[in-house]
Amino acid sequence: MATLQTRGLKRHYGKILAVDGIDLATAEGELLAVLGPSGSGKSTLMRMVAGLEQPSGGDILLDGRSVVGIPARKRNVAMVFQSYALYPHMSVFENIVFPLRSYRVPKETWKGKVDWAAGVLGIEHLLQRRPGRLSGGESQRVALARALVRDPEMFIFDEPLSALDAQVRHTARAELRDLQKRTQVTCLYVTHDQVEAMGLGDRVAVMKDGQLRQLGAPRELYFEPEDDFVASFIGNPPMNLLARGDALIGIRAEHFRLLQDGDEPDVGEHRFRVRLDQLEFLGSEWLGYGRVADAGGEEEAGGEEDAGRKRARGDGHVVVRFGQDRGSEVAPGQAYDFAVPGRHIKTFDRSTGRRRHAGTR
Amino acid sequence: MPGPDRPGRSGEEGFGGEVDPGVDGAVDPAVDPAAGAAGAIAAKVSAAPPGTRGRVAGMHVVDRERLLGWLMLSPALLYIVAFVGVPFVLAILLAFSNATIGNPRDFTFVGFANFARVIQQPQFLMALRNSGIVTFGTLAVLVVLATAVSELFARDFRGKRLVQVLFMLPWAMPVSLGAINWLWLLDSQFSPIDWVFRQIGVLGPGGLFGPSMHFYYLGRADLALASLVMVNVWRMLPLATIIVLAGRLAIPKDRFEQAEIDGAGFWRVLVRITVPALLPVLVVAILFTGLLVIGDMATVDLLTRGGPGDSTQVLPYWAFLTGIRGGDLSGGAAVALFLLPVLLAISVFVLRYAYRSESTA
Amino acid sequence: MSGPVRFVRQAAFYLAVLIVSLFALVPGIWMVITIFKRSSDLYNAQVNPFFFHPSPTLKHLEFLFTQSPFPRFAVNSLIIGVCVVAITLVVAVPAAYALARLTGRWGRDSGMALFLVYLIPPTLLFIPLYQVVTFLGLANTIWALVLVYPTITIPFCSWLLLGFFRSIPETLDAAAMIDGNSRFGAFRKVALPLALPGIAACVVFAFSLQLSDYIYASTFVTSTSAMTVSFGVPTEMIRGDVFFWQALMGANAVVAIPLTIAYGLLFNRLVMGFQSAENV
Repeated sequence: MATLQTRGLKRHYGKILAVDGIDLATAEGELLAVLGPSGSGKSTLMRMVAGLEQPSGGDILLDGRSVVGIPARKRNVAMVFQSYALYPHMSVFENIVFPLRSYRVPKETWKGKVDWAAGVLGIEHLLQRRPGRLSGGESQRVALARALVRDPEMFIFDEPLSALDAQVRHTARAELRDLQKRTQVTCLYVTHDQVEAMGLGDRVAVMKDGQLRQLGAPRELYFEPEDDFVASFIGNPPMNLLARGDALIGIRAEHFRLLQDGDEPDVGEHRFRVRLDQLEFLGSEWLGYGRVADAGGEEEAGGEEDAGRKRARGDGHVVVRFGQDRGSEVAPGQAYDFAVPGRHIKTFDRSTGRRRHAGTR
Repeated sequence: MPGPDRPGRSGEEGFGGEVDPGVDGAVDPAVDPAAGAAGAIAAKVSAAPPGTRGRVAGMHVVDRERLLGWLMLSPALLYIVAFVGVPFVLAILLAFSNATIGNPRDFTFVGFANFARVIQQPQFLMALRNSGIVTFGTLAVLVVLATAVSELFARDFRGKRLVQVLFMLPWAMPVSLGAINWLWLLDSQFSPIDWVFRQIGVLGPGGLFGPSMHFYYLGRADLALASLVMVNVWRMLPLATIIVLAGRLAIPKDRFEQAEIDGAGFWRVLVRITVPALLPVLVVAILFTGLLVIGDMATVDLLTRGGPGDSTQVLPYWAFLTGIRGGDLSGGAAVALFLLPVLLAISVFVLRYAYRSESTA
Repeated sequence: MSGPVRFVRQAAFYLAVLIVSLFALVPGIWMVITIFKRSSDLYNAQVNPFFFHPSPTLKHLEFLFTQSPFPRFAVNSLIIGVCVVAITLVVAVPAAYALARLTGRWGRDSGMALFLVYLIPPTLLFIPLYQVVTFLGLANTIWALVLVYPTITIPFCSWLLLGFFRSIPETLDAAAMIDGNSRFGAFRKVALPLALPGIAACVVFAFSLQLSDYIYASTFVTSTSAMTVSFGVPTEMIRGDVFFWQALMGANAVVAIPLTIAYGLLFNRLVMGFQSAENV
């Protein structure tokens, strides 16, 4: 079964470098999420893997064989597009049969395969309909069936959930996960939604500006980001970043421990004083928005007159998470002390963005 | 997981060439924790002899598509070059030559003599003037009417289908047959239009334009020109309307709704919203219909024969008369060529405007 | 909106609709009526030209179909039309797809540039084209016109179809290729079926554009048996000053009415086609 591997993969359009040297490899049967904002190059990467575009440099290997220069139809990769790309002039049945027809699969097997795929996705009752008469969720299932019916070596998903309503999205996500686990086919899942990526991916590849910033399991990305972009992109709220000299230090919102009157930080913890500006009640928790003052009580960002200024990175604005009951103990406008365990403070080099391990802060 | 039988890859050629292991970019363990598996594959890969990337039929995929593109385009290109491009060059040569009907191969170069001779004929100046008047007049009226009628068709009303069919009659009727039709309608003796005018008191004794019983539509120079404009407008209006309607329907509905909320009435909407949005489309309509009107010879030939006298001569007709009826091939070509620089300049100007407004649209 | 104001608005609207309908209809009605008019009725300036006095006759229609060269013209035009439309489709459809998908940005944006071909008027081209036609031995045959008419139809149809193909999302082509087709397979199985409305519009347009041509028809063909409707009817059915009006209008109706219906039924498709093409 396929492993995807890319080596130094590059793509430029004229002067613009869309993909800048990507090295990655999938494990067999895993769902690899490719996560990044728009313009990160994730779509270009995906299209090169699918065979819809040719790289400017580097190599792509499917199943150990280089596929650069080989057209899409010969790669045995199935793809589900963001818009589903259902053929509007064919019925659902004909849509699903289409790849079997194109690959010259023996005609007698068609009905069996289509019925099987339709059964897996629960769309048997839709087979005679036209795509124009399907809901978003139904269209997505048809697109999945069409990809599934080929028994491909790899699936590529291009933001498949973004066109769905929020309610449907949750169930769709679970079903997609289930489907992938059952079929054990390697999956490349491209998205800009970090919740999706973290929830679905066995591993996540975070991209920005054409570069691969970090590739790892969701836990790794969350707790041990190797890159300040990864730190601020993953997690909601994003990791707080504070400037300290030539470095940025990162602390997750939930690692601030409120110090009651008289409490001192434990050994290995550091004190942070935060003046809270706003509190948000979210039901299961509270979020506090504020600014950090250094140990001497000076506030980092200038004060009230800065309230309207656009926030800069590391400028001292933080988000702090409070438990359900804790939130009522604090009030906006006040400053509070928090303790943060040293192991939860991550240091990043301010110029390169890369993580600094060991060494001092 | 039970799945469909693997679809046999019948009919598929093997992957073209050998694998290329000589790609730069070592596998970076920090970025690629699955290096273990990849390492095994990498070992397998580097054992293969160096070679070209996978190729299909000796050609890179991108080149194949480009080749296909040119193949699909070439019949059209070749045909146009052969039957428009080459004759065009020949016609230019003709205009600089000494050819006559009696002696059509006489290509002695005479410089601008033909042009000089042709300009000095009074009919030529008349033709030039009239071409301008008829074209400009037709286009001016067309733009207004087409916009008005497209407003009509942009709305729903009872019988719309029927009106759509009837409305196409002027364009569907071949030019020459329509001209014959109008020949009777504008006849100096039997015109049904005059009859209607007589009934309603516009003509006849005591009438508005009386006591004459007839308008001499084709017999008086000024009326004849106006008649030519009217007939041209009549036949081009359906086409112009469709062009403008296409643009009109593309205006997003919420723009109109916003205007209504902002208190704009029918005329204000028309002038401030509809027309500005229609400008690029009007350009298309003008180009299209303008080219058709300028080049038209049939209407003049059948309605007025350039008369009375030479007062309704237009350039294409005069070129025809000079070249074919008069036997002066080179002169005819010279006359016909006259329009070209003007048309070219106008078209380039108009195209530039169209492209600029597209980029801001 | 208050009742009376609303009523006035509606009335004004339908008045406009009426005017627009009459605009096309008046010559059309007159055309149809005239076919059945007796000459004594026709050449009578006093009576209402929109009625029959005395009763209508089929005599002229009979003349048109049995004694005039019109059937010959109609057959010629039909043959030429079918051939020209076929040639146009075979040439313009692939060309439009290539421009839309296979030639990069300049191809996609070439829409307006296709118009530049029309800058070169037939009144300029017909002389050298006549020489070409004579050289090929096709002078005075309908095949001369079959050869030349695509110069009128191909640029326009390419422009229209370019717009149509551009409006089809590229992901559909991509999906088809991923599903196991070559680029040409994707063209054949997905793009082409979806462009059928545009192709239908092209068929009607191409047919009527070549039918309307007057100048090539008049120059390349001089013998009656090879004439087309466009040139033959005005030429052969007018003897000096004598116009066979009723027969002329009969010929007109035979051609114009089916075309009008075809255009009318395709009206919305045509608008869509121009929308795609105008969005460039």
